[in-house]
Amino acid sequence: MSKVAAMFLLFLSLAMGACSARRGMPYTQPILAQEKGVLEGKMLYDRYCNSCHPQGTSGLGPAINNKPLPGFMIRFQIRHGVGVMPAFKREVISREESKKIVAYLKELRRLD
Amino acid sequence: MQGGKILRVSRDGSITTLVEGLPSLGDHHTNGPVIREGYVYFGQGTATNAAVVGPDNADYGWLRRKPDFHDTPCEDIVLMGQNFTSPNPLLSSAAEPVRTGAFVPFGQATSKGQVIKGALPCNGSIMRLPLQGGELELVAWGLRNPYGLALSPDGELYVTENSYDVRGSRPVWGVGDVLWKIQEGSWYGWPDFGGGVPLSKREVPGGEDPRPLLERHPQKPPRPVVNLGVHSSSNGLAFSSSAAFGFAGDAFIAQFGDMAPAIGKVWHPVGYKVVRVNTQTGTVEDFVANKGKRGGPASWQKSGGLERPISVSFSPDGSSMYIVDFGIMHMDGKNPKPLQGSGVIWEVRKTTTP
Ligand code: HEC
Repeated sequence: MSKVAAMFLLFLSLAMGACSARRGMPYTQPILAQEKGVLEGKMLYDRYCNSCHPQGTSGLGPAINNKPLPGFMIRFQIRHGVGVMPAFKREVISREESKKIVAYLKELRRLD
Repeated sequence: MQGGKILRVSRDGSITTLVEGLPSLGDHHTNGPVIREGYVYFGQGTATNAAVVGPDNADYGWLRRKPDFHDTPCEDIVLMGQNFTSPNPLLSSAAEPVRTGAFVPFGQATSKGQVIKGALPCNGSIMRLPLQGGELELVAWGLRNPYGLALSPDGELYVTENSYDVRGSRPVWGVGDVLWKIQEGSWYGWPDFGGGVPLSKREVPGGEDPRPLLERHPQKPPRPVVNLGVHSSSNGLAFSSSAAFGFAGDAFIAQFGDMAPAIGKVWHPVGYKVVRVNTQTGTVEDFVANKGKRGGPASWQKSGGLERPISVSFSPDGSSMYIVDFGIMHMDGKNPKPLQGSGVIWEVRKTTTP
């Protein structure tokens, strides 16, 4: 494992201890009232991420709506798939798209 | 057991069989029905998880009853000739391992270029019949377990598909259930794609992705309307059509919830709620779900509320939603343990105060 991946995993395990997330309460209206970038981020998120992190909460993968992961780390995770998560190549999720996904995740976190 | 049937029950109580002997003797049953323009549409699940009969099917009980049963494709397919080695649960534990290919009985190997004849009825499909009875017709195929069928207010056919499990000779990890809009004549990707994406193209570190079983694919599968939780068991489907309820045109899906660990491991309970899908944007929101920090079924949260919603429908005037909640079913290792008397029917109506 590369050093950067090892450090990243360390960060993840620290982040795991963060408070547990809101679950089961829809926030449809606030999300829908959002600007275009966040909405596009939600559409991309629901296409590529929702199956394992349903609405940001844990499922097959861990919750990601409850920890203060910086945007670059989320984008790193998307591109490199640290741990058992699959990686998404640039042809699948572009740089701009991964930024929109991050914008949506930040909005989720703000609402939680 | 002779397989699935579609029956017509008339007002005077007489019962007519429209079709019988459907290939539902394996993992998945016959689903539906939906009626549109003189036809009854129904879904037929696959015999297996990923087209290869294996020891998991002995665990499910049917392999010993029907050792020759296997998936039947709807049209002719050509195999890559992949075979999978497994223990032989039909003999003693000391027996030699056996090799099994795709779309053939347990213990039968296949070769490259081997053609498997398509036939009707077939597995992993949506089929239809004239309401007064007649010839079976193929509507769509390549669907692992097409569970909930429903018509949108504009008359389009949609279906929820239960996706792969991590079990058997060809386990598949990490593919979520999906909602499809059905285009007649299309192939939806089972057993080589999940949610429209080739299984072999995903990058799962450490794990070896399943390689394709088919030499040629009938087409590139369409893109799903929405991707739902892996193992959420997204089953019942209904559309709101009325402002009296709200969300007219949106799809509502009852998620039975995971059957971990028999189907694979999860980080946290998945499903156990009713979700709402905007079919235009392909986005999904929780609609009815238990509150609280832990989420999951009521018996696990030690609260009241939803347990395992399996079916959803609306009153004829569209103002009320009804949810069939199967009730408590814990997993005791590989075995489901349903609790008698725990099922519920919920009614959901719009209120003026949020
Ligand atoms: C096939 C399932 C799957 C999909 C799809 C998936 N993930 Fe993950 N994700 C996981 C798993 C499993 C982990 C835990 C990895 C580990 O630690 O081994 C994870 C971990 C993460 C983490 C780190 C969480 C932490 O605890 O710090 C982030 C961030 C993340 N995923 C974001 C995403 C985003 C964004 C997408 C969509 C582009 C996505 N994931 C798609 C399965 C998935």
